[in-house]
Amino acid sequence: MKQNRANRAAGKPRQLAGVETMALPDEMVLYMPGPELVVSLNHSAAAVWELCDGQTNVAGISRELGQTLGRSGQELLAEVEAAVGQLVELGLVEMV
Amino acid sequence: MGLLHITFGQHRVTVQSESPEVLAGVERRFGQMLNSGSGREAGRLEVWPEGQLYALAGPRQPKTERGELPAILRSLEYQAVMLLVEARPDLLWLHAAAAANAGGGVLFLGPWGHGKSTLAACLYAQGWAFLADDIIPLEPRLDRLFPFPQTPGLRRGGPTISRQILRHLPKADAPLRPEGVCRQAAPVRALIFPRYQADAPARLEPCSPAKATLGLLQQCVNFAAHRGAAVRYLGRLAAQQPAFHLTFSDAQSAAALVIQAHF
Repeated sequence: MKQNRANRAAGKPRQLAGVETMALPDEMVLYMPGPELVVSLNHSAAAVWELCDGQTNVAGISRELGQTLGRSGQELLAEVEAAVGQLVELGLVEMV
Repeated sequence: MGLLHITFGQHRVTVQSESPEVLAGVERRFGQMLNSGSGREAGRLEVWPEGQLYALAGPRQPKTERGELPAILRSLEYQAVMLLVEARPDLLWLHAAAAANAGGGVLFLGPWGHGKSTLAACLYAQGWAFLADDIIPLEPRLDRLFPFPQTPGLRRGGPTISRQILRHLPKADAPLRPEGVCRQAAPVRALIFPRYQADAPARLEPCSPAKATLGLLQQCVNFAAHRGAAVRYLGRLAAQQPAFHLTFSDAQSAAALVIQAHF
């Protein structure tokens, strides 16, 4: 269990090419042509999305967000993992 | 042979029938959209009696449709609207009712049974200009709503009737006065996503721009003609205009809230 979580946290999420983003006050709308998928992200999910650069692993994203929010990366890890998981499920992000 | 011309801008749909019942039905539903037949024909719908039934033929239907008069009139209405939608693919057609005050149009967006028509009709009864009952075209380059004043069809029920029962109540046409219909394009002033709920007090709550964008896209009838352009345009619209969820059981109270909001 611990090992699985460590593996997930080590994965590097990357935004899929072709996804259009629209920044709105405190939120974001993502549009993926082809499947014609439109998704709204709240402020937290949008922050995670913006850090899905394929260079930073999930633990690193948690740390970066934690610095912004004045919390520890460990504290945010579960939420970030869940957000990344949802973005992967929706086909907006891939793990590299 | 009787002919009626349902008009939107430079386009018209011609309805051809010998049946006075059919022509009267078209006049009831499109009374404020009929003219003498000028402009480009977007399509022609023909209805004729066949024994106890009626038959409907049109360019969008590969086969002649047959049925009882109310069903044929509903289908004719749908076909006529879709012919006009297809004649103007440059517009964004939204599944919405709308009414306008001096500042512009308030859109009531949502699926069937959420109270769009009732709310627009209530505002109309309070002196607002009527814009649309069920579908409205939005011109994205001009940021304007074009009037599409089909006659409102209203279900009469009290504030305690559940949506399940409400759906079985027959709709009654509420004829429009010509002077009460908006004839000019109007800017969008507010986006409202109503929801009828038995026994609920009228409540207007802010809707975030992202949620409003999704709501607008869900009600965009011709999204396939615009795709990404629709997402970008409607996202911008949702960011610029106030958007609300409106829960209500009593339409008069809900309309009063909209009026008090001074959009």
